[in-house]
Amino acid sequence: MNIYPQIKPIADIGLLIEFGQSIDISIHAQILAMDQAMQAASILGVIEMIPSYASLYVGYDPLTIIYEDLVLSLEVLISEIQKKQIKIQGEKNHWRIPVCYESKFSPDLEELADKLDLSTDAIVTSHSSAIYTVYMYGFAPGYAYLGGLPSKIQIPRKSIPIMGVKPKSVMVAGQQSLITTVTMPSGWWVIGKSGINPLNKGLEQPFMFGVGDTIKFEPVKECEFVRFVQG
Amino acid sequence: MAHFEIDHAGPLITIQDKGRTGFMRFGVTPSGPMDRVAYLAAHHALGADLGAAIEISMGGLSISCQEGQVSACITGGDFKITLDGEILPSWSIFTLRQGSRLQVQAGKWGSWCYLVFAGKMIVPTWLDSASTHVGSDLCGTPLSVGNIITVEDCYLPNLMAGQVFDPKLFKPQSQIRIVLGPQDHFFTSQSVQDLQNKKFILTKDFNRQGVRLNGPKLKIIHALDMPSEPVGRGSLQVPGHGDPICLLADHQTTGGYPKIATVISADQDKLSQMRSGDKIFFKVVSVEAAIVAAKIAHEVEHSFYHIIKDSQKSLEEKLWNSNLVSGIVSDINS
Repeated sequence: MNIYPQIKPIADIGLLIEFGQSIDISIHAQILAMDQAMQAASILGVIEMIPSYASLYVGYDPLTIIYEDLVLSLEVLISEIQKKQIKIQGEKNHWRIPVCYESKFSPDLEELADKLDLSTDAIVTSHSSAIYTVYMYGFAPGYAYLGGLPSKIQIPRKSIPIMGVKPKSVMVAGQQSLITTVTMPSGWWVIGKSGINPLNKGLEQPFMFGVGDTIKFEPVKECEFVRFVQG
Repeated sequence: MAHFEIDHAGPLITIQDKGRTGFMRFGVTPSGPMDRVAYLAAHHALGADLGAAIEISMGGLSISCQEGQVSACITGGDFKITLDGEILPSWSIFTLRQGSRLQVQAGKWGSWCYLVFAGKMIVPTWLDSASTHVGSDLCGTPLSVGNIITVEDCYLPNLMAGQVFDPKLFKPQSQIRIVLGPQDHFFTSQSVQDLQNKKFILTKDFNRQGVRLNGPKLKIIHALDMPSEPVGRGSLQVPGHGDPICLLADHQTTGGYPKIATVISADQDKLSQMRSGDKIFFKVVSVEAAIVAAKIAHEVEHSFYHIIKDSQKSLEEKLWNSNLVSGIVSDINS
């Protein structure tokens, strides 16, 4: 029996629509479809939606909308998206991100190679040949969680986080990869540096990736990288 | 225009306004005041448009006026306010002039208070908000000694200087209401019982992001692997150590720890005003009761702002109004 989707209240501030309990592209597709259906419906009193791996968060204003009415509207939308073949509307972008994996920018690559019993080249080849999907944002502003990390380079995060990991660090942990945007502590493994910060504070739309976009990392040499970054 | 220099600043003193709503889907926490009611109260007392305030922690703040003159109001908790050596009651309106020195120190209770100027503070903004997000440094950093604060469009409102409201009404009670979930079923039934029946104490791990509580350890039934999901303000997330962490204004937008319950919005700011060492008893309520509480809190706050807006009213009238509000508050808390 399929028990999903399930609507779970979060006090009087929001609710979670759970579509499953695992990281799975077909579960995620339903979340994107629901997010888009809600954007189109623009229900009065809904403050925001937050897509994540297996659930969609809906924040609402209890002074504007009656909870039971909100749940009814959501149930209608859920049955609508389930009737249709799930097809994500609108453009999803594909991004090619230059990454320098050279030792100067990859403080954890050697240790990771030891732990995984692979060469550093094999890790770089594996990391840069996969196609990643933006599953969600979290942790810090502009931190896009990328699913699609090849299983042979998956490893749990470090037991102790490292303070002050710099912006544009390309990291891996568990089933995910990520490009940092601001200086933050992190327990993920830093294996390279991106030529681009996906958060550009000065822009009106400061976040480069949309949830559902795809990404490929393109290895570049340090000399090209410097030119790229300066140009 | 008025300029102030910071002579002393404790930790975690930041610029806060209404916050940054609607960007959690990009990992951006809403930030904003730890005590939203007090923040709004200062603006209403001055008749000022909603704008940036200085959120002062128990570490205290001391500023001196280099140039100009402007009225200001401090609200929130029961802090000790000293202006040019004279002690003012908390929740006061006063005027700062060239050479004035204002000191704010932790008082009888409360963890945060708000300094609002009758004018416009010049501060950086990002995504339509001036709120500092501690950690990311995307919109300013906590204030420190030597920083200069500039206030434009200063005015001296035609108001009585002095106390705008007796803060006793807002002193937090130990009872905090929660709604169970969304992952209460991951916890042992003993832990769900303990959460409602046992005492919890606020620890020193307390900042704008959240506060760790200490009490009976909350245990999950079996190890779980749950994908990160969005988290809201008030969430009681429980990492492996078994102590619940209540997420506050600068909370992360997502998390992978199970959440046993969520503090209802009407009680979140009260919890934020408690101090390390204070005790909490959680009371489980339904979603429906939480929504009713939000509506009542909104009504009470609305009439409260109305009362303090008119600081020119006679003391007798203000006392009468404050009794009226106390009456409503004790009704809902009973």
